[in-house]
Amino acid sequence: MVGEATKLRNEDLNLCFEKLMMLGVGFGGKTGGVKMEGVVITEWKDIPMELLLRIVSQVDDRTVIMASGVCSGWRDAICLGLTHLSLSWCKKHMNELVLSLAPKFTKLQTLVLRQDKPQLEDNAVEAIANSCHDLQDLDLSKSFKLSDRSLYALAHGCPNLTKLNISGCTSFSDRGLAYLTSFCRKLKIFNLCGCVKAATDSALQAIGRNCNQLQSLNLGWCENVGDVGVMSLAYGCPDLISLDLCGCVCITDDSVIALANRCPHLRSLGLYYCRNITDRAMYSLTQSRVKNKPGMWESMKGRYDEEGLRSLNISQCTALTPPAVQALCDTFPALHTCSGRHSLVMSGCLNLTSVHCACAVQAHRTASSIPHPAH
Amino acid sequence: MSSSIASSSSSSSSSSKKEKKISLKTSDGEVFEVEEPVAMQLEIVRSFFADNEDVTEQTVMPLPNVSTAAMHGILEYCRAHEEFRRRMPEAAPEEEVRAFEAGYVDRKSNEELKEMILAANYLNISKLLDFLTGVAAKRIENKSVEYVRAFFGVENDFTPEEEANLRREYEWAFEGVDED
Repeated sequence: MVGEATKLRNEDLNLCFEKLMMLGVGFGGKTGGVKMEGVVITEWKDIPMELLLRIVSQVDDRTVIMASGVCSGWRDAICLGLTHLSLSWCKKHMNELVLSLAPKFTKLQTLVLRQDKPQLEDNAVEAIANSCHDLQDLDLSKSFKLSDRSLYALAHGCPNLTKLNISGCTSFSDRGLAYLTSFCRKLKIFNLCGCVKAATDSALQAIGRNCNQLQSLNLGWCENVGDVGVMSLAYGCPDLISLDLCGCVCITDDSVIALANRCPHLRSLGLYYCRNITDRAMYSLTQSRVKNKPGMWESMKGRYDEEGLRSLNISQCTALTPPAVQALCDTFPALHTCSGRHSLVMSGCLNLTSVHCACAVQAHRTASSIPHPAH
Repeated sequence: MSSSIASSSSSSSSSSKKEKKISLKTSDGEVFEVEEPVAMQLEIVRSFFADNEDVTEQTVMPLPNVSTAAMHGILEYCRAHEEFRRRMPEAAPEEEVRAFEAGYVDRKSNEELKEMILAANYLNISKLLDFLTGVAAKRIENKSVEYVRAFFGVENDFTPEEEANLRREYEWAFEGVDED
């Protein structure tokens, strides 16, 4: 009996060893002539794709392009495996490079084409839209040569975009933008900073209608934005966490009140230079806190950490008065005026100098109760 | 872990405080006797022993994808890290580790590096694999295609047309970068 068991065990073990061998044979794609001596991969060109990609993932993007031209094996592996690429370092021939690379790197999920000097043209964006259907994150900032043709192409080719940066793309129109949002409905993070022509109320209405998952929107310096547009956003995008309206000079309290009432997750709001904003807007934000957080004080305290405004820029909102802003500051403990954190920004509001976060008081107490550690 | 402590204390009572060893056989038939904690850094070995309770100390585990030369390199690295761990179980002495790794890799040719990457991958030692692939990445960063082909002994198998296209891409990408 004992002998039998041992024999069985040995057979199991042999099976295991055989499995180890099999693993070896499958590895590297070379077969044949393999027994105990195993497979020895002799050439770098044969190294398994996952290993090549592991190496390539640690080099800069320029080197990735170089590596894809070493041999066909490397090219195929990189073309199949590359998901992130940035060509922002390209100073002269970004357009040509995109035209050449996009049809090869079809698995891209993230593509960064930020430019200092505008290079990209519509045909490059069309090439991307035609090839890279998995694209989720695209940065086209400062491409002001691009026209609505690019937006139409992206609408059809890249429906999975969740993050799009077209800040500084000043040639886009609001019709093009509205069209894009009716196809790219998964957008979560959208940067339209400086897209003056595109970011109109009608485009924002389209965003509010189509992009209900939107969490972050930058409308900085889009001076055509008005209350109608912001209210559409507030009603259509309940998940908004961050909204930058800096320099949207037309908006009034109505915009802020709508956001306060409809966007309970709002944590960051930029109102720099929105000079129509008055205390009413501040009180609506303060009240939203109370309204959105009923229940015991203890449970509220726990939630303070995650919910509520953490960042507010009211610089140059010169109509605001200290009591309204102090009430807001007291309601949202994550808003700080102290230099270290500075999440409530009020520069240029000379009549708000008396507003302070709780830190000043606390710092004073701490200093008097703890002896200096150095002595 | 607890069982190994128990066995070591029982063996210490029988005066010979011998460390448990594991036998590993490389592709060219050489058998390495490796201290257990070092061998257990090889995930393939660890899971083999975890999955097969019947294996004994006499079991020789074959590693058909690892050459003797690669095994020497791998064990040198794993033993050094085991030593670091033993001396400072809380946090590795980072500077020493870096110094060791720098010296360790300086002595490796590209051929050796490649063999060790393949071996580390097969043996599933993620720490070593991260380290070695990082070394390979540094060796090709910002180099020309020709340099990399020569460096790794890879032959150009593109058609002249493909090659011409790649050359253009490559020129656009490397505008203003010095060649080695």
